[in-house]
Amino acid sequence: MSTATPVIEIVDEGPIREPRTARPSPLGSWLWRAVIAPLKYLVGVLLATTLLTSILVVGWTYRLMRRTTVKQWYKQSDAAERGLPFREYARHYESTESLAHWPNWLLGQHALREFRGETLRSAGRPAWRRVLTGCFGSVWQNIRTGVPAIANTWVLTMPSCLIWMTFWFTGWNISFDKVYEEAFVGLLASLAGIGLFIAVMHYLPMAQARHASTGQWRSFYDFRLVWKVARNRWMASAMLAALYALLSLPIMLMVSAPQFLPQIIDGSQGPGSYEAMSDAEVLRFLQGYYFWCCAYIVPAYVSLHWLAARSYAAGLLTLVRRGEVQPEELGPREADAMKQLGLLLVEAEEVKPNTLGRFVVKSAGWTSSRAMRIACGVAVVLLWFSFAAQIYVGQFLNYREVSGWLNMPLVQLPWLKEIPAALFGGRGF
Amino acid sequence: MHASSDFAIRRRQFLKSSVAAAGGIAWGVRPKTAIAREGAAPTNEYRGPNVIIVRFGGGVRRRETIAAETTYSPYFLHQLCRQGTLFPKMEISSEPGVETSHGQGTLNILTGIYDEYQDVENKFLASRFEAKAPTLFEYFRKSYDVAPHQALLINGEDRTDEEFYSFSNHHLFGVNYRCSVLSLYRFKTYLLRRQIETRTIADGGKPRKLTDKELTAKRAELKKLEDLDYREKSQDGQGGPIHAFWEKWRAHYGETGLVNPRGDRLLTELSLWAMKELRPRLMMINYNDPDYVHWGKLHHYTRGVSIIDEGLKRLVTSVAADEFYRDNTILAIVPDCGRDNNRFVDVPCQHHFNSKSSREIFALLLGPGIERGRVVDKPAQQISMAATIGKAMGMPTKFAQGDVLQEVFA
Repeated sequence: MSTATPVIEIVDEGPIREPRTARPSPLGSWLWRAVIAPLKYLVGVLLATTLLTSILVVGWTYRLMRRTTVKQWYKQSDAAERGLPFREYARHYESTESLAHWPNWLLGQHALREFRGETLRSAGRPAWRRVLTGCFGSVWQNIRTGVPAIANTWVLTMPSCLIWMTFWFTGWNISFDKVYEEAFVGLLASLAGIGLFIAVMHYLPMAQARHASTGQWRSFYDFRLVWKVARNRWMASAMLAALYALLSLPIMLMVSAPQFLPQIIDGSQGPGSYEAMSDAEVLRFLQGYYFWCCAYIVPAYVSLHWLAARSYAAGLLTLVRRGEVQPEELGPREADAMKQLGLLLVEAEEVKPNTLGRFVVKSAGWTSSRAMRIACGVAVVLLWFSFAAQIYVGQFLNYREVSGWLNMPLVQLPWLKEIPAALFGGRGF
Repeated sequence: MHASSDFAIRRRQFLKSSVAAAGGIAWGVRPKTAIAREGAAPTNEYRGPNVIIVRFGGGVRRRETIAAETTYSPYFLHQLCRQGTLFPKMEISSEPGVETSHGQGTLNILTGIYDEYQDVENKFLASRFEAKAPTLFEYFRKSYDVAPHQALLINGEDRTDEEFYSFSNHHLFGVNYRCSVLSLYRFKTYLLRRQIETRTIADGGKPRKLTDKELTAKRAELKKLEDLDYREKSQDGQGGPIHAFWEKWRAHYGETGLVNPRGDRLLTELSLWAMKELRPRLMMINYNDPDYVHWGKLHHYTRGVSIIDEGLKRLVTSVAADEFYRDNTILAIVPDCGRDNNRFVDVPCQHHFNSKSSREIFALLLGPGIERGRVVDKPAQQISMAATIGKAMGMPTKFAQGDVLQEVFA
């Protein structure tokens, strides 16, 4: 365990502080994580069980995405090569100080140090504000980040969702009324909606990562830059689409399963068990059921966004190094981070020679070829189609009138709960 | 055969007394030749009541039909039920292998036995079931000298699988005793055959010759339709009266298929036309609109129930207005299956899971000789419909396993 002060190259003029020399032992750090990680997970799952609080999960995930992006750049920097821990680097700058650890749900980042006025941001703040920030800083951060995040996501995804919902309704009304002269309307419009969705999903994960990285909602609409990054990361985009399609399979089963629950209950607890359940028991069962659904959805949602952030960071750095993206095109936070890490100083000709093996170099060349790009493009289209198809299958097996179309838990709000109105005393069938 | 003879004798005694009691109305069946010898064409005329079986399908719950506070079929509940005997606790058996679906339910009603069915070609999700036991149509046509067009099945336009319910593969019955089927599928095959034969098509109301390309397309279309029901190909249509029926239909509604009523309203229309043109003695109407709830819209289900209710009203009105049917027609109304009551979901009424609710149905019988305003508040089986209808028509249903619903008969 070294206690020597690490040397880091400070490029930025921003506020700095001496790096902390006292580090926790690896064992202590792991034990701490073993306690905190399940706790953070549990809180995330609880927040995901209601529509409103799931916005906090979105905010928290975006904060994690930002941390991931910066950490990805940090790994490419001299600071990492010299052995400076990411935490130490992050704490040097006010702009990255909050990224030293995983984001919190409730307490402000570094709450104890915030109370004591030891963080860079807390310097000069009145005590009451430090207490408030220390106690609830992350709640506010999660809301402030989550609301524009989901709003942006809705702007791009809602048109397809609304098309699906409207034309499922229209299509089956046409079929019910046997208006066969217009039989094509529902089908064509639904296919158009799926096409639009596929186009959007080529863009959305990188746009979400950019929004998270810059902290500016407008950056979500930097179509040129985001598309450049997405194109640069065809293979990663295909992998991401494959993961979305794969991880949404259990969700399709989860949304469909309530249709089979009476038989499952009768099968496991004996015939007649379902009929013997009171409405209150059915309600309790469903609440428990959807809690466990969220227990899957939250890590799946976070993982997918984490991967998107990694991909975005790698893609953007490559483009910056190639000179295809200029520093002024970066968000201020991004430019700061790259400057701090010395990544903006590397000229195109100064890019370090690739030290990877010949095979990897060849593979890189192959993956950037036109044929591979086309193949990846086709794969991405098919994978997003399969993702959309799962929504239709889920709706066929268990129709959820609004939320079934308007919320994709892995893309929009990481929330899944469908309690029939009749169980709350509403009008039911 | 012995059982049949025994039945015939018992029935004869019963019918004699019934006829005497009813003043010679309704139950006049010639006892000596009531049961035709197997393989031989029956020669005795049918003089019993006409029977219209209404399948209140596809799949309805008691809640939306016979429950007063939540019904979507007010005419059926408030008016028809007063005129006949209602079995509000009719069920489909919960024995293993007994499925709660449309094809199975229809064959339960028609054959009087619960059986396991699978598609004739084992196609996924297809339900072209061939009954192993004879259908009521076959019993009827084997017992009496009744033309095929007077034993009618009225099917929906989307359910070509149901064309298979016109006869069983029972070795003593089968195709020789089949019923005729009226459906848009049948109309389309008739129309295509006519168009190919005459090489003419109505274009904007005016006839014109088909081009070679159009003719090829029509032939391909016909083959596609014929392939849906391999049993239909060998029949080359269903005979003169049915051809004449479709010809009138074509003259009235044209060839497009876009002018005539659709969905279950089409079934009502076909039934009323059939009553006028074909004079069926035994007819089954396979309503199906409520099944659209599979696609998630509850209003399709409730509207479907209401459409059947309206159809029943038209049917009863037409029966009363037609001397051939008035006071001589029994209506047997029974769902093919119930639907689920799944409190875990917003759309709780699917039916493929053999839930208790999907096995809970009802039946109403009304007409001459049937007690009015009676509610039989005890469980009854769906397969009892075949034996009961058989008894009402004075024909043996010896392969049917359900008991006769004795409470029906006044």
